Parts: sequence; structure tokens; C-alpha cells
Amino acid sequence: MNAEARPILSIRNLRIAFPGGAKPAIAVQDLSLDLYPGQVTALIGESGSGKSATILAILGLLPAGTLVSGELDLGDGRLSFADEKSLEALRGRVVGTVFQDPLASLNPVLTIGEQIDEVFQAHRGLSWRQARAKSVALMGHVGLPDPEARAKDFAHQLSGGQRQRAAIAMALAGRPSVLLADEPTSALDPTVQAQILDLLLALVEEGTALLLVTHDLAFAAEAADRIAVIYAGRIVEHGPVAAVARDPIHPYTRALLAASLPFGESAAGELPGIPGRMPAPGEVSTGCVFAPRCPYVREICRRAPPPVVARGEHEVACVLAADEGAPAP
Amino acid sequence: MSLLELASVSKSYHIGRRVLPAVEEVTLGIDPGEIVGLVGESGSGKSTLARLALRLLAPDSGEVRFEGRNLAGLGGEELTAFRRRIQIVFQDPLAALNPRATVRRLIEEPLRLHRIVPPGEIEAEIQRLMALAGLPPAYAERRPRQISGGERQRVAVLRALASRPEILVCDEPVAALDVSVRAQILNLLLELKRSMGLGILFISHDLAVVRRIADRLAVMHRGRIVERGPSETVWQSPTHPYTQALLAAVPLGEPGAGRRRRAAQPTVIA
Repeated sequence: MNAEARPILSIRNLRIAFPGGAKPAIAVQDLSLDLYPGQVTALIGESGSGKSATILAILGLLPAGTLVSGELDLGDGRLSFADEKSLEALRGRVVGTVFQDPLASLNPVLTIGEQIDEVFQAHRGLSWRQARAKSVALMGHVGLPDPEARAKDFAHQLSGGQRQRAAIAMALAGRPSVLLADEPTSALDPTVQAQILDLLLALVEEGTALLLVTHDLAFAAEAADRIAVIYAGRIVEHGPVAAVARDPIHPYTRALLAASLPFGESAAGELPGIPGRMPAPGEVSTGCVFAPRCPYVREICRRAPPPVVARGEHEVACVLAADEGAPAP
Repeated sequence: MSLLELASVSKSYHIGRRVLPAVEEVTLGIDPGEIVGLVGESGSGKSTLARLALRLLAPDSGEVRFEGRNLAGLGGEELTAFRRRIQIVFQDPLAALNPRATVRRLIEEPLRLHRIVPPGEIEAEIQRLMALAGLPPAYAERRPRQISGGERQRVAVLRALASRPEILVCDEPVAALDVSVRAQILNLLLELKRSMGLGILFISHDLAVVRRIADRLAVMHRGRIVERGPSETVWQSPTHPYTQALLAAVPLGEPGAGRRRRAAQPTVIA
């Protein structure tokens, strides 16, 4: 990354906690992340890691009563995550969102065209006729065949891949500079996944900043410029894709890499998994969140949060990283 | 002759006046002690094939045979006996398991139904099965929502195993699981193949997973098997264009590969 590149969106010290129980359950703790124009940042985590909560926090869409703190910087001053009004103004205009299941994010009783028209009308005050012309052009732009006819279709009349293209068109209609994509290809067939990734990368080439949220390390490695790995609400490792995907340091990232197919290339026999399970929000202890499952755990790990060690842009929250050389995986 | 055999099986669905062929002239056999992978995308007919193998659907033509006997001719006690010997595990254990039943009851039901062990030995058998899948004894009192996704899928496998089947059909058994727990289920299936000589029909859209677990695999496309062979051979040198496309779509985790693919073949975005 060149040094003068400035992030278009910065998250600082995001903390999300859900009230209830004796004390609030912390879903995300001290998360900081930068998104750059024309770059892909991947946020990698398994279910319950807090990755989707992070997206909802950026959008101001967490359930009422959720305790959110931290700051969001869009280059023109900092906004508090607690300020829902300001966040609402961002949605659609600055930030577009693509979710996993296009059938759930598209309205079943409006045509695809009507849904995209709405965005043009709401955000840019266009007339219906102007909006429709823009919608059709945008649908062609995202690779929907015969966009004029597709604009009159309902979501159920499109294939899964076409639906996701339509959802992406809708996200793009507000001309966002940032696209948040939460598992954008997980519900699609493998051959369609590659096509949708290709489309997202084409948008990045045009200057969009993409936050790619996924559980799939192999998929993320192919697409991303930077990778952040989140576990139990904490970013445990963060850095350029080559460093994180080729030479991970944190034991969780390493285990994830070994368990990812087809990374685990030992031709046959046992697959390397990770024993145990991720602590739920509220179960998190004072020490390192990964300590209960970590093969390299030390006494200190259970007592105190791990130090964050930086090797250039590669940051790791683990005592191992502080050692001269980390043990071989 | 394989223990379970699909011989030139076809099945179509009728929607109004339209006829949708789901499975066309598929021939496939599974024996004890082997894992046969069936790879295909949504709509390829793989789940229809699973239902045909279990006699949950009847083929329009062709035969499904177990020990050489056509399933279409089975009835009464013979059918019950067949149902014990072949079991299924689905993708989503939360949907497949009764949410109000405890783990004990979920495993106990097939033990009683098929009279696998005498009533006095049921408790010991439940504990034996739970130990086999690495579930702590205390989990017997928990319900599906009180355990993690990987643990739930292990319960679904145990429930299928309780009746001591010879063939297990797994329809996308790890698609809903996280990467770190996916290995637990795959390792359990490999262990069952080794230690009990279980035959497994492993259905998945994920070529990389199937290649790792299956001894041989078949690729399904639009209702037909378009390629088959030993897993490693198909993975290393696929010959059918569809298999090649499927393989090319598997992310190998090579940093920057997505960008390079684009540079080599800059596709549409008008």
C-alpha cells in the first residue's frame, strides 16, 4: 500500500454490546479498520464472531438498545457510532450494502426496476422516467442480460446469480463510495460465485472501496488487498493479504488456514480442525479470547489480554508475535 | 454388484403441463467401506437422487436395488428392514432434529423403533454412541438449540448411526458449518468408514470437500452424471468441460488470483 493513500472510511475502537443478563454481552471489542478507495478489505470470521454486527453498526441498523461506542471517520470529521441520525444519512449515499441472500434483500412484490428506481428517486430526486433510464443502464452495467426486460421482472423470476447482480445494482444506485458485502457469494453456486466476485472486483477497479465480509479465507485471499481476521469480537490478525494468507502468525489464523480446503493438502486422512468452540458474547474472559482452543497457550494468555505486535503493517494480537520467531505451524 | 445400486434411473417432476427432468439415466453403486462423492450445483438433481436411493421417491424408469433386490417391490416388514439399513443426514440439523427433544431422546428413538438393543441396554448404547462422536455424557440432557452447530450435526449423524445402517446418505452435511468445525464432521465420517465399514454417499456442491473425503466421485450436471472416477484423478485431470469449470471456480487462496483472472479475461461491465 502506498503511504499517501488515505482511507475513505475509518472505524476506530468500535464496541458493540447487547444488554441483558447480569452484564452486557460484548459482541465486538475495540475494532479498528480502514477502507481505501479501489481496494478490497476482507473481514474474516466464523458465525458469531461479530463480523455481521460490525456491518450493522456502520449502517446504524443494530437493534434498539444495543450499546454501541466508537467513531466512524469518512474523511470529513468523526461521527460517533452512538449517533444514529448521522449514520442514517450515510446509508445509500456513502455506503451501499450487499447481503448474502438476494431473495431476502429484494422486495418480492416490486419489480427489480421499481426497486432501483426508488433509490434514484430518493437519493437524487429524479423523475420516474429519468430514474428508469438510469436503472436500466445500471442493470446493464452489472451484467444483467436484456436489462430493459429484467427491470420488469420480479425477484423470483431471476436466477440466484441474476438476483445478486440486481441487489448489487440497487446498492450502487446511490453511487456509494463504499460497498459493504456480507457473504455476497455464500448462497450461490460455485461457478456463479466466481462471476459475482468478478463483478465486485470490476467495481473496485472503478474506485469503490469494498469491505468483503466472509467466513471463507481462500475466497477472501484471492480477492482482498488486506485481511482482518476476527474471532469472538476481536481482530486477532490484520495486514496485507500476502502476509496474512501466506505467513499467518496468530494460532487462530493458522488453524483456519489449515482447516480451509483445499489448503489442507495432506492428500488423505484426518483433516485439521479446531477443537472446542468459539466463546459466545458474554462468555469472554479477561485473557486472550482464543486461549481455550489455542495449542500454544501459555499461563499469561489466560490472565491478560494479548499484546498487539506490529511487524510493519502486519499486526497480530498474540504473545507469540512478540517472540523472536514464532513456532512452526 | 454393489450393495446399493441405481441402475439407469430417471425421474421427472410435473409442474402443470411442463415436465422437468430431474434425474436422467443415472447409474451409480455404493459398497460398504467406501465414500462415493456426488458433486453438483443447485438444480443438478443430486438431492432427487438421494431421495430415490432412500425410496422416498420412486423412479419413473430404471431400478434402485439393495442387495440386488428392486426397492419398488419391497413392502411391510421388508421395507422396514431396508429403512434401518440405509439412513440419511441432512444439511441443516436444526431443521432435521426435533427442537423439543433432548439428545438422549433423539438417539433413543431409532434404538427402540428398530429394536437395536434390548431395553436394558439402551442407556449404555446411547453413551457408547455419544462417546464415538466425542460428545460429553452431560449433553444427553440438552436440546438442539443448547449445543453448537457442529455438535448438532454430530447428533444428527449419531441418530442416523443408532440403527446400525450399512449405507449413510449425507446431503450437504457440512455446507451450513463453520470451517473450524467442518473438519470434525468430515473426520467422524472417515472414522466411521474405517472402523464400521460404513458406505457413504456424500452429496455436495463443493468439489474441494468431496475430493478430500471421497474415494471416488461423480459429477452431476442437469440430471446426468457427466464425469466419474477416483477423486484424485478427477481433481487432477478433469476431462468434461463442466467439471473443468467447477474446478476453475474453486478458490485456491492464492493472493491476488481474483485480480489476475480479471486481468487475463476482462469481462463485462459495460
